[in-house]
Amino acid sequence: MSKTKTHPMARTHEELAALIHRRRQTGKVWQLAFYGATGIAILSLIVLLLNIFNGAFGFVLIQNEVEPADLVASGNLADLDQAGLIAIIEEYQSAGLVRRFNAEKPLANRSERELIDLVEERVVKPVIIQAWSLQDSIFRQNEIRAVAADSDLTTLTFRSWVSWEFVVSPQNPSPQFAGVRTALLGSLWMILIVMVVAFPMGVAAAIYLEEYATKKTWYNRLIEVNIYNLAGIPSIIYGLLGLALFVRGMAPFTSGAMFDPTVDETTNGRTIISAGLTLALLILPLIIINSREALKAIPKSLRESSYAVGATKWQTVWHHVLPASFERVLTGTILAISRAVGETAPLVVVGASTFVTFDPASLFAKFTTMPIQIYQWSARPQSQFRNIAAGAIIVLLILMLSMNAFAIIMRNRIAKERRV
Amino acid sequence: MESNLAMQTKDLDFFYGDFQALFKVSLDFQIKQVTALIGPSGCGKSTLLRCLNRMNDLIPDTKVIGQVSFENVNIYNPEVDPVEIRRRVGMVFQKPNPFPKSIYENIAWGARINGFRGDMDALVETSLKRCALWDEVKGKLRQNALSLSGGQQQRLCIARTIAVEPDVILMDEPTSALDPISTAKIEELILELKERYSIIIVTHNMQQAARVSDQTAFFLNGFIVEVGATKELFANPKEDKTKAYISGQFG
Repeated sequence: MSKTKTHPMARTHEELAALIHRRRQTGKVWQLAFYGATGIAILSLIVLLLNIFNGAFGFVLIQNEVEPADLVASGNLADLDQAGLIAIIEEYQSAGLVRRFNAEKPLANRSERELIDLVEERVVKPVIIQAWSLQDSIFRQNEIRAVAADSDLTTLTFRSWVSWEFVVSPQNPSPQFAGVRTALLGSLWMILIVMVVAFPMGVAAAIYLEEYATKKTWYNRLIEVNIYNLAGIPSIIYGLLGLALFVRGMAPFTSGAMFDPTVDETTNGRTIISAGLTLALLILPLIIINSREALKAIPKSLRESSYAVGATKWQTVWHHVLPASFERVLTGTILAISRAVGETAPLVVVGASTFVTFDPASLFAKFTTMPIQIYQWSARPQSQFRNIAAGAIIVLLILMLSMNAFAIIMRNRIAKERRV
Repeated sequence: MESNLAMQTKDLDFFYGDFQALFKVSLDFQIKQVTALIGPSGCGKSTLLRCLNRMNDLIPDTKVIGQVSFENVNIYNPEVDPVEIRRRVGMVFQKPNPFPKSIYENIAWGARINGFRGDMDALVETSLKRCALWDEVKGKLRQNALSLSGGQQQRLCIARTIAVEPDVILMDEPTSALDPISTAKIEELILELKERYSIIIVTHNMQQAARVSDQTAFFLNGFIVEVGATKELFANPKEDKTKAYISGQFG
């Protein structure tokens, strides 16, 4: 061995410093890439939110057919009493229409609030001539005011398209009266069905696959591969499945005719229950996969400690494995249900109605949901529908956020109780 | 099988898939004595221990040939229920693994699922006292067991095991994750527990085997190399391999 040969790790101080510098540089480049990715994600979120808020608030130019000031001296309809309001209705509406109103619900029995709404809608008949976006309302205020000053008999007000009124009003053909009540109720019903059906079934299937199924048998392997593939199938395919299976195949059940022969046959099974079951199927693979991962994360040592004191498999799963994995199972389920809330395509196929003015009375009622409503409104040519679509998006976002927050709070509370 | 034997294995072969981990292991475990299983890593001592309460059933794709007798019954007979065996042959693991529940519940759960009808508070108290843990935890029985130190957790695991009144306690390197003081406490405990239970302990620590056990079996590559009274085996090993191992030449 020659003496000049140095150790393969030998470096001078300068060489080592340069080497470390190069390694740090590489790290910095990657770090920048990560910052960039996060930054782009945050930026797109901000743009999305700005875009929504841009549509949901802004100036509107309203023209009334009859000015409230002509009806009541103060210009405020709320100052009138019931008799005064009925008098106005009878004065401005044809006798035929008044008879129709009385047939729906006698005017004398209506509350002051209901009467004011009726006067607003039928007598005052405000028409939004023009609506501006939030951006324009802020930056082009002078132009807007000029336009408003030019036209007679109009009032310019700043309108928030999303309001409590908007949340509790049913669907209506004119955008300034339309609300999301029916869609919101449809969505809530659907969430309920999806939870009741998909959560227990998904967790049960996950327990079977993770705890009981032997990985060697061909059918268990087949089930496993299929579940992973099912999670990747486009949701519209589930819509077609729901159409064939629930709407057509199980029509006597899903239309409610099985329980009540007098039911409205025109729904044909295109009901909330069909939609709920379809979405439950859609998220079932997600819940199964998430729950399996949760069960898998429970260390072997916990199972062994349970078996070692003479527990059966079922006791081990029920008393130790499930409680220990419950937080993760719940997190996975929340994510899956959030996905169901936002689904649109399968519901279109299953036959969501686009125009429902009455609350869903039962599981076997026609329905619409928030995403369907948003989709339908944003496809309308009148620009004001885009404003209420933006309002509906905000309502949907609030719904999802509060659902997730509720679930997370519940989950943390359960976890806390268990740790005591 | 003689009446002074707690357990006995006869020509026991064990396979993980195609890999044979135990070869013709025949071993007697004396009643109310401590038997230590020693040997280098991978020699099959833990595998044998887990055969004794059918814990290996939980590992897929394993196979057992031969006999493990417990009260004159081969526990691998098809009509024997492994759940029953595991209650009567308890186990303490290498890493302390209490249930993530309260200290009280750790003791009570096993008794409850096995149909205990007596005074649960008294059972918890005696079990903890026997493991010299009562004084340390009596004020915080409702606290989570995971808040205890590692040594306390391991003693809790032993208390949990004796709460279901087993006949045999298997210990798989029970002190390898603990500090010297905790280890000393556990060793002391083992010597007390052998008054009531037969104990089989796997250990890497030869001093520990010498201190706590009455008999020792030395394993190598799935075979028993030598079995005998602990004092005898450590003082005068008959086999060269045993001698080499206990003097620290390999392992």
